[in-house]
Amino acid sequence: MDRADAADAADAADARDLALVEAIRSGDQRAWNELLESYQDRLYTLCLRMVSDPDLAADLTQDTMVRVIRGLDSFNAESRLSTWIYRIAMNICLSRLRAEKLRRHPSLDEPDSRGQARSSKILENREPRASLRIQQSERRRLLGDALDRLDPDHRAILVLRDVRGLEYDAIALVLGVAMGTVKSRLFRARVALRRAIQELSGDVGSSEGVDEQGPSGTQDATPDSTRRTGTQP
Amino acid sequence: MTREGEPTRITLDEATLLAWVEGDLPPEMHRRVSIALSREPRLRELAEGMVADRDDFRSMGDDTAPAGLLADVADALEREMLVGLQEEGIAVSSRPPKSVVAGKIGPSGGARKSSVPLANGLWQDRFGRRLAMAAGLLLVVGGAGTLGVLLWPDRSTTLAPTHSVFDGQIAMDERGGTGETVEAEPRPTQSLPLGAESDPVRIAEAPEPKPITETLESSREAERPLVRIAESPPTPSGRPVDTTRAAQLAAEGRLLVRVRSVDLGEMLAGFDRLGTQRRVDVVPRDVIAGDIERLTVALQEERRRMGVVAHATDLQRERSSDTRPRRSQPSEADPRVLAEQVRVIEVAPDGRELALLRSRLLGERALLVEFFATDEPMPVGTPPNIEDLLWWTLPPDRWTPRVRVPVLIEGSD
Repeated sequence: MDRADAADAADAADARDLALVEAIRSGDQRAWNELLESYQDRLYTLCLRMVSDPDLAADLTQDTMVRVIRGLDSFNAESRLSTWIYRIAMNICLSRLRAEKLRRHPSLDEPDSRGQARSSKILENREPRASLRIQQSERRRLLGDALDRLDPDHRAILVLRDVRGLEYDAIALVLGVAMGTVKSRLFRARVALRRAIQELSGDVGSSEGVDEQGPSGTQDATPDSTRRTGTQP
Repeated sequence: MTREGEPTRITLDEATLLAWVEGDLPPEMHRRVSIALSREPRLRELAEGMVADRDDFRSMGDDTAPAGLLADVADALEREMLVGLQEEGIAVSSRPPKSVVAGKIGPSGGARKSSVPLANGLWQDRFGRRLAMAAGLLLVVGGAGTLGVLLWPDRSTTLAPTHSVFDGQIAMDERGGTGETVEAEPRPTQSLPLGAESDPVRIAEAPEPKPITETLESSREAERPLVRIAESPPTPSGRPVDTTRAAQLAAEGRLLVRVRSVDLGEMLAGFDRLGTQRRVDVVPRDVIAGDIERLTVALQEERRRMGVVAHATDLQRERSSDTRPRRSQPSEADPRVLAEQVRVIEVAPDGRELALLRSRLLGERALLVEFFATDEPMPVGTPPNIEDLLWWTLPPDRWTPRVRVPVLIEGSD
């Protein structure tokens, strides 16, 4: 699905959401069912990626839905309903993370080798297809662990962008920050994620030296150019 | 557009690299950045890693929400709304919800969702949990009952009935020591007679104590003050009624519950405990604030009919925010004190529920719990229609219509 298709799908989903909201406001109680059901997996996934705890994620999803139900009257359709709902969910998740300091801080010097050893041993005894699945599973686990190491703000922006597929403007609305902040924070979050993945996998490499200041350099990008220039022409 | 071979300055800064990772660049620009990155292996590895991370995240898809999540939402919402209603002074009644989405666990153990009416899905979804809760409840009942039989052979201890307690208090002190309290008339003959002189509980003295017709707690006389209760006198409408008749009266709004206790404070605390037995419980007394005056007058009348002289009331004090049981100030001239309070409960107009209520009150050390008929419906209002607020929470068969019933609590202060 390319970007245009994704936008069309988002518009269609938004139209459907607005229709459900109208139905709810007109007294159609069944519309609640449809609305909540359509969002429960998305919200649960968002919360799960944020807190990495299924039970807590369920609780946060529940809190989100309760607030959505109680606050739907205040939704004024100035943004997509999904954006409004994600904002509620993200605020709940971030509040929880900040209040309870749920961020885990395993030693960055100790890559999680136990999981790797375990999965490697399993891989040896599995057929290729099973091995592929295990690799994928291991990759997911690695991503989850790496995400868990990030600052909540970085985690939030990655979840909104990659898990929920929000555009920059929607992320800005959800997080209540400027568009430029979204972009810079997203880049830094990606760098931080890379670094966490490399540390977890014991492969410290490319992201080293690329800090929050980001890369800086100007190059001549002609096809045959190999000459690197400085920042000044 | 840059012509082929023309040097173009590409700044591999944060914005450019992010745009490359996110695929936001036009194709030509994307290609040029790619070329530039090819000369920066470290940056290229980083950028390609970012792309891989992004793709991996996006390929993960959504996790399936736990089965029953929406049912839990309904529960949570109900609790929150009840709290809100209490804060707003709105009584919560029992009205059927209508529908909600419920999740189920599929046979393979994976979660799957289904949209079903709450009356079906939610009930099925919670059935196991509720069954376990019911089993636990039965164990508690059995244990408590056994304990009750052992300790109080003439009483039984039961769990709380389906009722809720309104914290609408109207204290009526017979002898108040403060300037706000109006002096009451003497206690008539059916007042609780005093027990032994050592009894620390001081109950209104009866000029002509009547024969003792009922003695409670005989097995605990050595431990507790001897309190003997005179049988309730006949009233114009007859003697106290049984629970079946009481249920009918409750449905008509003509039921009055009279509770006698040695210790009013303890009894009121027992009422508070009743009010915590269920989710729909204590409601601020402001709910019936508008009815307090009429209720007081009506109760005074009923007490006359019951053969008890009306007590002075102190509405102003009762309307204050102090919900603690009032403590009367004994007069030096007449130290006799009898304290009373009125509360309003919501209870299902059902004989079994009323019997449970009585048992529960007896379990809270009430000495006597009686049901009386009143001539006219008591001005305690009716539970509001909550259907519009809680329509998606619980199935209709789990909600029982309730009525409000005033409870007159007597005891020493």
